[in-house]
Amino acid sequence: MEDLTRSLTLLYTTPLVPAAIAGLVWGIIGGALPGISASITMALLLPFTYGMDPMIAIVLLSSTYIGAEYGGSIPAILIRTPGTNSAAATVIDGYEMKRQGRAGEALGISLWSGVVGSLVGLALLVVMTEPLSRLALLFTPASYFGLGILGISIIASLSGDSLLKGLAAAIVGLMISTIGTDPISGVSRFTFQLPDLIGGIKPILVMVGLFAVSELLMQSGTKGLGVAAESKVRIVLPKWPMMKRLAKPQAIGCVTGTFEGLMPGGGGSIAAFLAYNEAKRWSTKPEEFGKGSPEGIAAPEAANNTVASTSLIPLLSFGIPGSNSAAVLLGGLLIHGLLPGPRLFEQNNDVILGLYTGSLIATLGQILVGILILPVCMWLVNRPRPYLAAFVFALILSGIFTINSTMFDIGLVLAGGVIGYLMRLSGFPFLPAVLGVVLGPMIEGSYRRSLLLSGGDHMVFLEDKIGLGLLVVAMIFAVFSLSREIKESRKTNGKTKGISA
Amino acid sequence: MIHKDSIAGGLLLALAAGYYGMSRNIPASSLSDEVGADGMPNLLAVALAIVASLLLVKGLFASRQTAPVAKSGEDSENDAYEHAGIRRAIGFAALGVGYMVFAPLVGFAAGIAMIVVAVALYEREAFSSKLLAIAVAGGLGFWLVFVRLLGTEQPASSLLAFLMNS
Repeated sequence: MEDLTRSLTLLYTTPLVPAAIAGLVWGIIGGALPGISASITMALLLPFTYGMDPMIAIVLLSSTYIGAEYGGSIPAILIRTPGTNSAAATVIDGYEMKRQGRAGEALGISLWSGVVGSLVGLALLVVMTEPLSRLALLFTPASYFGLGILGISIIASLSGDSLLKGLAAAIVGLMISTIGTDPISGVSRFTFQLPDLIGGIKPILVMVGLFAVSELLMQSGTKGLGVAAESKVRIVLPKWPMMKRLAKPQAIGCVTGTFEGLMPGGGGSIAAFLAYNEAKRWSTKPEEFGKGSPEGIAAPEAANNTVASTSLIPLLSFGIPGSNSAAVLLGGLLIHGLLPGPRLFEQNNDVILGLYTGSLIATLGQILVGILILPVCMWLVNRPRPYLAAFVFALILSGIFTINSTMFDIGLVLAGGVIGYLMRLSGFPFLPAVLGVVLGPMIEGSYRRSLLLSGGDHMVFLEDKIGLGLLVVAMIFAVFSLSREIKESRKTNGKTKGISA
Repeated sequence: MIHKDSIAGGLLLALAAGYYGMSRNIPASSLSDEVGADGMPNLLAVALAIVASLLLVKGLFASRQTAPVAKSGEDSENDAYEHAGIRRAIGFAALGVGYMVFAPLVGFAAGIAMIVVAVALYEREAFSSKLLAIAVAGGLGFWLVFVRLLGTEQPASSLLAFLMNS
């Protein structure tokens, strides 16, 4: 009750509402631009949150996440190109509906299902996060070390096709986190006597480089979409009978979205495709799927919007981001010195209440803002790609300079972009690298504190029950992932031999 | 033909060796704990060396199993496309380096206008008065939003300052 009163007070004592709406608008626009994923949209905004009040910055970022998940469905439905990865499943029936002259109806179903998914996800976020974070009170430094290793292990196992590549990316991320002044001894490490490196490399620079710049480099030289979006589409929200029909696929979407959101490495795209398949399996009209079924839009859209909230549960409770977007949000928290876990709820309760309230406003505001902003999105989607690329690049350069007012940071981001581009070409996943940079100080700090407390005895990691449990789970994830990789590699080799024979 | 995983493994192994070499040169401090400032870096170097070696071996096995197959025309085309892509990507990043050099000279608004023109031309947009107008409007718009409205610090023109002082 006290929290509810405080949340209401925040509404008129802080610029929470404008921040939520601004984030939502930015998110929908960014999500609607093909190639600009939710995480890139958030990463582009991240540098500008430096000087902001922490609560407002977090509300802005979380609202952007919510908006981008809906925004991604706009080009998916109108031009058969998903704006975000998680909108890929929406293309199947969304574009079919558009071809049948039902684009407005398809957009309305996407919007409505997104709102339902977001509300369910938000309710779970509010109910589950705080009790889960209380578990962290039992954690010793050795447990935190185990938690960090578990996070790295899960993400490395699940976010790519190869465990080895995931682990290599994570270790390189951890290596980057060691650059700068050692917090305990004050000794400089890997700074090459460059003053700009003394403070270390900020995770935001790695995120913007890997997510945003590498995407621009990937798209460089590719032709524009070449398909003009219709400019006269109006969103038609579903009426009551349709809402009833959509309830089942939306429920399926919410369940898969919850599961995938809680699983680090799952993400919105897997949830959306899972939800699509399950909705088809449970549907009374499965034959309509792929031919413009409203249920085929409702399930994936509810799923990816649920993920936008539920992926914040492991993030806020334990500091383990489940998706690229959650990793960017973690970057936002760290920029403002906010460490996830129970202390965040005790010492920065306003930030958490603001996050919940802002997310609720963004979710409900989606309906009105989604309708109003559609013409702007369609205008932007129709702009020539060279201009879009030029302005996104200009935004990155301006944003990065605001952090430390140094060109050195821009150089680091460009280098990160080239490395990210090469990682994409060689099939190395980004998220383990980002997680390595973000969790590096926590992993190293807890490792060294544990050994300080045990007098240098490594047995401390086996004696701490929570830490040991987490390390064992991390090992299980790695072993399963490796055995899966070996099996798949054998299968591929078998096929190759068959072809050569 | 060398498999991509072997190349990546080799590069990562070199990185691990270089990183280890540098971590050995981290000076000891009397303020340090039992692990020391070089403790974690040493562990990471060893961990990366192990993972990189496994990747290298995996790549070698993979290339052994596919080696006898001659390269098809499609494969060569894909390789050429990939190499052209890498060149384009490096060229794009070089435009950013150009901004790093020129923005402190000409200032933020002009720097943004220049990068908009450069990127658009690089992305095969024809030079036109429309492009120029959009770039100038973009530069001014960015300056208005980021410098005037948001009050963020952006590169100031050293050239303008020099001209005004002289």
